[in-house]
Amino acid sequence: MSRAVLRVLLVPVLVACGSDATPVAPSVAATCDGVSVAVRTLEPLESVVVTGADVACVALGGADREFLVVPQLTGAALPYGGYGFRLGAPAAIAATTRTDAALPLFARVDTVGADASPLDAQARLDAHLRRLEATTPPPARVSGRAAITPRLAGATVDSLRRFSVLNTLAATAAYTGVDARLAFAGTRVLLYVDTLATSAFTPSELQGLGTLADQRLTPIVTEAFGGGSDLDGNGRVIFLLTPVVNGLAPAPQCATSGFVRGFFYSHDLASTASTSNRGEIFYGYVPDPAGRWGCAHSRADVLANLPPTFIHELQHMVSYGEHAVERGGEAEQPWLNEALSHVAEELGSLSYESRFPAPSGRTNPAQLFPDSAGPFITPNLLYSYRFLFSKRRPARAPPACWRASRSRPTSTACRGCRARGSRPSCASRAATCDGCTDRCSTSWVSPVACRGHSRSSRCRSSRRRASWGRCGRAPFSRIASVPPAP
Amino acid sequence: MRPGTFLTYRLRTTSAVTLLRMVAVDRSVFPEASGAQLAIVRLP
Repeated sequence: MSRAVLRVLLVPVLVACGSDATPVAPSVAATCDGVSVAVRTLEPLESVVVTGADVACVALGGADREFLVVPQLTGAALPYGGYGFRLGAPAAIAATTRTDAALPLFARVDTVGADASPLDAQARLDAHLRRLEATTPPPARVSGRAAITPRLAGATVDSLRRFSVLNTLAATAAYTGVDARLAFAGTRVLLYVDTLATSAFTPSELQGLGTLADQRLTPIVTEAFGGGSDLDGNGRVIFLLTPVVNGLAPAPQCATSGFVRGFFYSHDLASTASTSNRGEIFYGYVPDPAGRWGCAHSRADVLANLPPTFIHELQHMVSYGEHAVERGGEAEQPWLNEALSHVAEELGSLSYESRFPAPSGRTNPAQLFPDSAGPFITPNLLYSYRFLFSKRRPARAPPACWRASRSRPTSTACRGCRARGSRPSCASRAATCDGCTDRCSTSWVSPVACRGHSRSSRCRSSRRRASWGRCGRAPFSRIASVPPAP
Repeated sequence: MRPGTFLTYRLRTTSAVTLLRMVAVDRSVFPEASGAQLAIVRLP
């Protein structure tokens, strides 16, 4: 997946400001921070792309009009990273403009480009591991179980255990031996920390992380997808935090191709080789502010990103356990396996949305999602948009296709055409179907605002909340740097 | 948001002129090299 959102390196802020004055005739110019800017008046379905310094202030003409606003960092000049978005209302723009030289963050890198859209390290590892699961014969259930001694059933806090940890993204596996100390023993989760990284977390952070995984996240997955296997007979999932995971994408590659936050490795359930840990294990990365093992990761980032990574990978673990270990069948199809892990993330978000109904649990009471849901829902939104606006789509399709995927021809002729099984194109403003041409309806419902609940009262209220119009209003905020509440 | 990706928001205006800003977290203007851009389409 990736999904888990990386540290917020930079937070673009969109501000919608306007006065409450009575609507007047369209203006040709407006003043913004003391500078006169032209008012842009768009016709329905007309679009404009504002670039450069002009993004600092755009004047839109007309009241009671609705727009889709699509902020984008076009990428080639930015280092790899996640860029959380917050819709807010800063009082003013700083008087000084930063220069490239003054801001190393914007130092040019050579390998990241919007057109290339390479899978990041986490996605590459996920794809590799899912393919491995799908092509590896299912473990021999009886003999596999017989070969395992439930050696962790009596594990006690502070006890040590040695693990074998995958240390490469290459097709040929390689492993590093890791000594880890049991930091938390719950009823569903055993949390181990590599002895080389014992100072990476505070004891309270480990307790909080262990409790979160044990009491909240694991039940979400097992109730939705099944209990999975218990090959090692300890009745629990091992959560191993080790810098070997950080090293899967060493510096400087991780600066341009991303890094791995965690994974489940079916080798632990499918093999009795010495490199298999023969149990249900999730491997997670650790804080590394100094960049000792790879790219630098702050403690706050890691604590925010581990929970959604865990819940995502736990679904993979349960899936493999149910399909291959418990039933001796083939692993789930990779595409569906991945999709279900995204559903698991969604369930994590919904758990917090239910726990913190608006406006509780929100840094900004007006934001759509509670802070704790952010790390779970943000990656899904990012990836859904990434799919919708994939560069693999026909050239020049965006921006006309912003609405295409949800658009439907509306005329009777075209509806009849669709009823016959044709798929009219909405790649431009007009849809063509068996010779009839119709204007595409824009029934698009922004996933950011409504997340598929377009017919619910919840969605309608969400959409109302997402409407802007007055200075100081912040419709919603999505920052994934806040660790979820236990 | 990663470079090259999009997010989409709905904006409903309530006044004759609405100012829309895209700025960095410290409220400074994006440097040119960031490639920051704002695409806007009016819905019917």
